Amino acid sequence: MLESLPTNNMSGNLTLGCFQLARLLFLLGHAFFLPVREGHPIFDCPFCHVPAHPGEKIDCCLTFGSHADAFALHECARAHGYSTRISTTPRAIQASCGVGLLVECGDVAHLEELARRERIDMEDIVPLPCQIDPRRDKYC
Amino acid sequence: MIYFDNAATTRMKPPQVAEAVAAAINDFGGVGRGVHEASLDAGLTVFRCRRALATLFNAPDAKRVVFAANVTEALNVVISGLLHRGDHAITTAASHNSVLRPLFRKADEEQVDVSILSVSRDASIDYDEYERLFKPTTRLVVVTHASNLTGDVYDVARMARIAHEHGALICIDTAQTAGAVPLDMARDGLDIVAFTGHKSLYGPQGTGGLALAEGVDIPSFKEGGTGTHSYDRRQPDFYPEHLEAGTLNAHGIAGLLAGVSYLQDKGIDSLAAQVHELTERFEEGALGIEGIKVYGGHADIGRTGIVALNVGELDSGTVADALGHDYGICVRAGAHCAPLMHRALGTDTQGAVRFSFSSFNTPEEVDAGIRALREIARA
Repeated sequence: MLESLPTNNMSGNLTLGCFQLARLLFLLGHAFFLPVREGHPIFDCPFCHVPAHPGEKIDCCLTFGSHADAFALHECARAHGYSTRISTTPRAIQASCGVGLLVECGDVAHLEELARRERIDMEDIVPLPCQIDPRRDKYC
Repeated sequence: MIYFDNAATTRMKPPQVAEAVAAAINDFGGVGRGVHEASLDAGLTVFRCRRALATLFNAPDAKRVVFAANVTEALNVVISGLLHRGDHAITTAASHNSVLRPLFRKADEEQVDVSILSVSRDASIDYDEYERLFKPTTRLVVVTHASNLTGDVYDVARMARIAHEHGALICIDTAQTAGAVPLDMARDGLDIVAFTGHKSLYGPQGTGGLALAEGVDIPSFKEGGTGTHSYDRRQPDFYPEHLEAGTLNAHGIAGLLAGVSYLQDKGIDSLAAQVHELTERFEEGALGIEGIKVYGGHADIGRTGIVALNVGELDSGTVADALGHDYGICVRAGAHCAPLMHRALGTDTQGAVRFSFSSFNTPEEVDAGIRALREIARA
C-alpha cells in the first residue's frame, strides 16, 4: 500500500512548480516587504487577485495542526461573513494529511487577527493557484 | 415501566438525540478522515460538540475537550498517564470503582502512594482532614463531584484550592453531575473534568471524555491514526488529537451534541430544579414509611437526583426485584461500584436501593414509587 501513496516529489509537475514559485514569492513578501505589527508581519498578499498565469486566481490555504482549529476558524470566519471552504491540505504544503481552509488571500490579515483573538492555532498561510483546477495537487 | 435508574444512564432522552444519531448513521463519513462532504458532516458535528461542552464546563476552548468511550476510560487515561512510581494521590471513599481500581492498580504495580479520605455515616467529608492528607509528593487528587450512591455533592472548588496550594492537580469525576449541576472549570480552578455523555448530558452510551485546563498535559495512552501529521512517527502533541487515536464515535457524539444543545436550551438550573423537586417529594414520601432508612443526600452544597434507602433489614436486591417484577419500577440495588462508600455507610452487606430521577420523570411516577415502597414495607 505504501507504494500507492502520493509522493512529495514535485519534479515534472507543472501545477506543483507553480505552487512552489507562488509560495516562495509569497514567503519572501511576507518576510521582507511587509510592515510588522506586534512582531508579526501584516499580511497584504502580493498575489491577491494577481494571476499566476493569465486568468488564474490565487487563493490562500490556511493550514492547521489540528482539525479542531480548522473547524473553529471556519465557523468563526463564516460567522463574521468571510468566505471560507474546508479543503484537504495539498500534500505539497506539508508531508501529512490534514484539513486546510481555502480563503480569499485578501482576507488573510483579518482571519489571522480572528484566529489570534479566538486562540486558534494556524500552522501556515500558503497561496495556491486556482483551487478549482482539476489538475490541482494530489491529496492524501 | 417507570424508570428511576437515571444515575446509571438516562433512558428517557430528548427525542432529538435519537434523531441526531439516526441522521448521523445515515449521513456521516469518517470523522477527520478525508475532506469530502460526508466526512465534513462528521467532523463539524464533532467539533460543535467539543465547543458546546467547552461552553458548558467553561473549559478554555474546544480543543481542550477530548472524547473517550466513557468516563471510566477518561479517568483511566488521567490516572495511568499522570501517576508514576514515587507519586502520591488522594481520593475519597465516595469514589466509584472507575477511580478506585485504576488507583489501586497503580498502588499495587508501581508503588504509587494512595490516600483515601474517609466519608462519615452521613456521607459528608471533612475538608480539614482532606488537607492533612497532602504530602510533598502529592501529584494528583481524583475525586467524585457527587456520590453515585447518595447524590451528595462535594465542594470541589474548595478541594481544588487546597490541591493547588500543595502543588497538585485535581481531576473530578462528574459522572453524576455533568449536565445535572452547573460546572465552571475556570471559576472553580478545576484542572481536569472527566465526564460521561449518557447520563445527565442525555447523550448515547459510548460517549464521554475529558476537559482539560490550559497547561494540563497528559501523556497519550494510545497511538494511531488522527488524520493529521500522518508522516510523524509519534502521536501529535497537540490537543485533542494527542489523546484521540482511531475513528471517534461520531454517531454517538452527534447524539451527545443534541443532548447538550437540549440542556443549553432548557438551562441546567431549570432542569436541576425539576429533578430536585421530584427527589425531595420522593424522599419525604419514603421517610413517611415505617422501616425506611435513607442514606446521605444532605450535603451543604447540594445533591443530585438520588435517594438511596433500605427497607428494614430486607436485602436491597430483594426490594429492587420486587419493585421491578411487581410494579415495573426500575431501580438499582447492590454495591453500585462504590465499595468504600457502602462500607462508610454500613451498607456493604445489605447494599442499598437507589432511586435516581431525571427531569423526564413526573410527580405521578414518584408517587407510584412511594406507594410501591409502602406495600413492600408492609409485606
